[in-house]
Amino acid sequence: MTDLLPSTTTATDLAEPTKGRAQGGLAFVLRTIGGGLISMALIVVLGFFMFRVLPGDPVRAMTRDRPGNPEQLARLRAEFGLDQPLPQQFLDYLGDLARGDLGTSYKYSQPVTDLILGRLWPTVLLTGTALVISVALGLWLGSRAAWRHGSAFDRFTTATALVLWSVPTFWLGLIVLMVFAVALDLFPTAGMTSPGGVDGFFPAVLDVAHHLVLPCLTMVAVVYAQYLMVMRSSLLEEMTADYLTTARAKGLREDLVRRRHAVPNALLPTITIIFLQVGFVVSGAVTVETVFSWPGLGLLTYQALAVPDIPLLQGTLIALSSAVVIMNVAADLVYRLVDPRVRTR
Amino acid sequence: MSRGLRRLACLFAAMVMALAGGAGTALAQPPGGAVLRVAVTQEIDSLNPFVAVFLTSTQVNRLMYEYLTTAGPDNSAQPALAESWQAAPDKLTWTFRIREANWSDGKPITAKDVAFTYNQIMTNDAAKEANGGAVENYASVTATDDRTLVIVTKQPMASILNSEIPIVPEHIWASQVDRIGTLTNTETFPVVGSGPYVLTGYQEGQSVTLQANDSYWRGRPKADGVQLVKYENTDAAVQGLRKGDIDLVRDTTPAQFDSLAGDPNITRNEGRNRRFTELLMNWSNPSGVDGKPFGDGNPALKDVRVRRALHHAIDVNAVVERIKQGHSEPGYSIIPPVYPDWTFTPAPGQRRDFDPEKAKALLDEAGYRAGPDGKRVGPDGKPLALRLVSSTDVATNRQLADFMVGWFNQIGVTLTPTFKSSNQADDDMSAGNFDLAFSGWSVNPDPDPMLHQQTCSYNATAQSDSGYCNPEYDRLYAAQQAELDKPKRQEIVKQMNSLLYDDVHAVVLTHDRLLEAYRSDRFTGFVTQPAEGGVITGQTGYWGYYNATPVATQANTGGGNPAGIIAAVIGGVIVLGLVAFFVVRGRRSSSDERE
Repeated sequence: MTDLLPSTTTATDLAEPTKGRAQGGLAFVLRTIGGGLISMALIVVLGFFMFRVLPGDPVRAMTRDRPGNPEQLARLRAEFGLDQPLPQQFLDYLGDLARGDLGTSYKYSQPVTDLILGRLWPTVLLTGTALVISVALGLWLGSRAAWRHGSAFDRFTTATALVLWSVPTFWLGLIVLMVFAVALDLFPTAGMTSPGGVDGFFPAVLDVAHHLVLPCLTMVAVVYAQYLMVMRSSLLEEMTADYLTTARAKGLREDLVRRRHAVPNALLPTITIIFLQVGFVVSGAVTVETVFSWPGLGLLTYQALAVPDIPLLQGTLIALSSAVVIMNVAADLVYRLVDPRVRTR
Repeated sequence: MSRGLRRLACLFAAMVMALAGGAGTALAQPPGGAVLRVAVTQEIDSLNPFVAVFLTSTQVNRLMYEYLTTAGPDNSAQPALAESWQAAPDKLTWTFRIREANWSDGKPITAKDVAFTYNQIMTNDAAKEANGGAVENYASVTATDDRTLVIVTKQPMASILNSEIPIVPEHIWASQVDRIGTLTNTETFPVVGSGPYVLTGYQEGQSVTLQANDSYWRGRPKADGVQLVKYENTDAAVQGLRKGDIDLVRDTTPAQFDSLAGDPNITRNEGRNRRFTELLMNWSNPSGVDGKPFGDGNPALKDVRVRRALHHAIDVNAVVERIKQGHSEPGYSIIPPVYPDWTFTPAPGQRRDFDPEKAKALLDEAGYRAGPDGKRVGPDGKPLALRLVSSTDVATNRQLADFMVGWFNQIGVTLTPTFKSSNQADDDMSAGNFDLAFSGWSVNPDPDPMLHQQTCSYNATAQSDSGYCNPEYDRLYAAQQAELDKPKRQEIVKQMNSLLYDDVHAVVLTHDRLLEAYRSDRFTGFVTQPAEGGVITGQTGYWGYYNATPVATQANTGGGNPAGIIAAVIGGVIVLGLVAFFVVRGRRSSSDERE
């Protein structure tokens, strides 16, 4: 980072002029975290009312297609607490939440916290792996494409990325499944493990990795274009900067000029995007999870909507949005660290 | 920093790919020999028999726990844990003789286990969720000795032999009664049961593993186990079947079903199912809960002549042939023909066939005359325009609605369909905010619950149907409930069905078949329900899974997995390539830095 030079281009300036650097820094940190907390409070309130406006009657969903009678429906309604007036339900919800209790799912009759935790690891594994790979691939291809913009390499990589970006995920996933899982018989067609799981730690890890390839491949194919395009355009902006001429004049090789001078500066806008995306990692990718039957959090949420399983929806909303809020706060803070212009002013 | 990040990411990617490549060779076969792997698309809500209500979950519970009596392949009540039974002349006291059999842990099954289970559901609110409705009419359940169970009902109860209540072992559950509603029943394996299979593994959202129960009273199943594998969509499940990842897939679309024709390893089963599809007509009757009027149904539908006219305008055969692509049969009754004892077919003079001219005549008679533009105008001067509520969940509903619009247009009735999510559509139906709506139900072997749903008390509840209310029907319902003599009860049920048909409580359109397919190179011998042309999965019994027989010579057990080796080789090549790449880059970087 030592060779970072201030540039005249557009980095978002988050800090304000303050009396002292340390004090200003602390105020900034507190303000950022405070903002995050306010967002969370709003989400908690919103979650309660939003899911109660949803069409659908959980009691009916839980008795559909089965013998039942009006008394049984009333009993279930009371069990779910749906016979209480709305303000009372809201108070109960806040009280439980304060005690860290997200309630009990209507559908699964299980604590919402357990359900969410059970799905968290598969989700982070899939979307996290896909994120790391697509960021790496996107940044690498993007910087190369920008450096040689207009070349055949640029045109080819950009076009490929955009085509994959525009392809419907469901369709692409099924094609990948038919080619790699069925026709070539290389990978399994569904799930995160072989049915029933595999004995032994190392075989189990391999089994999960084997199942991970196709969903991960599909996700990467669909999303890496955004990193490529951002990296490409921000590097293009740096291309005409004077400091690159200076670097070349020093006699540095073209490759080194790109990697050590241009790319670090162009990376700043990309970091913002990456952090925002990391926040969405937990919400997963419902479509990919659906095609490859991956037991993720996104799918859990989506299926809860059909009931609607209100406690589960409230819980997943809080879990998913806190991830986004936390990563936003982190992005603000990290941005201060990586961009010297924000720090020193 | 960027270089470090990038290198880390590449390394990570290489690791994953290497793992993936190697994994092909490390894949284990499912435990315990010939395991029938079934793709399921529905979620498992719970495997606790006191809580589970979803079809897939109750299917697993059927494999784990016996009932007192169970529906046989012919759908009639057969002995299960009860080997015989007798009703006292008062029609209220039933005595069941419990079979000598053992739980899967070797302990004997006694009448006390049955009494324990039933009493939990009757007295413990937490245990009522799944089967509370089934015991509502029970006054007491007692075990007079290890082999004798006495049930006393409040009212005579003809449907008692179809009470589908999984019976749990008291010696396991007695200590858990305070948490009976929140147990997952997957805390310790194997889960002690009495059914053909024993639950030995559960991965939430992924799979359920069951092993053959060696002490099952009918004899150990021929398959060594059953595994339900979660697929989130049937497209992938059909691919899994082709590939051999699974052995049985259910509920495919007609297109998927057709695409499996001609595969020598796959046998398809088009099973007559226990469902019906209907067109509801809003009767606009008062609520069965508080007697108040509700909903905004078109009053024209209160006239039976209008309802009959609409029925005559519908070409059910076209629905079967052109919309359901032949995988269906025309329906007349809310009790499907897979239950021959209770279903109903109208007499030739009673039946309403597709006949637009007759429909027009009926509308004329009811006072809805055709205007100059052919549109029907009512006695109040308003044109006869109806709304149709349809859920988007059933793919064929849009096409069906299009056909309806055309047919009703022919007789001068304007139909406006709206498509909603199934929750929104259901909300409209419960609130009575519709004129016509598509609906459908799965029906159990005993007709009582389905018939009950058409009584006045159900109007404006979450299970209301058309909002039908006819005191004569309600009287007959009570009579059949109390009639323990089956032929007499059949006669009453027939009258009820006939009444529903003549009143046009709704138009029953079709009974759709369930499309299933299995790997006949691995399993055979499935017993369907009904035995002739029925379904393998989704039964009200365990006959399909219990009788699944592994095909003797299996090519695909054990041995090397060529695909895995190929994958390993590819993975290895990629890893080597990446390593070489880093080595070269590393050298170049260091030489750069020396410059």
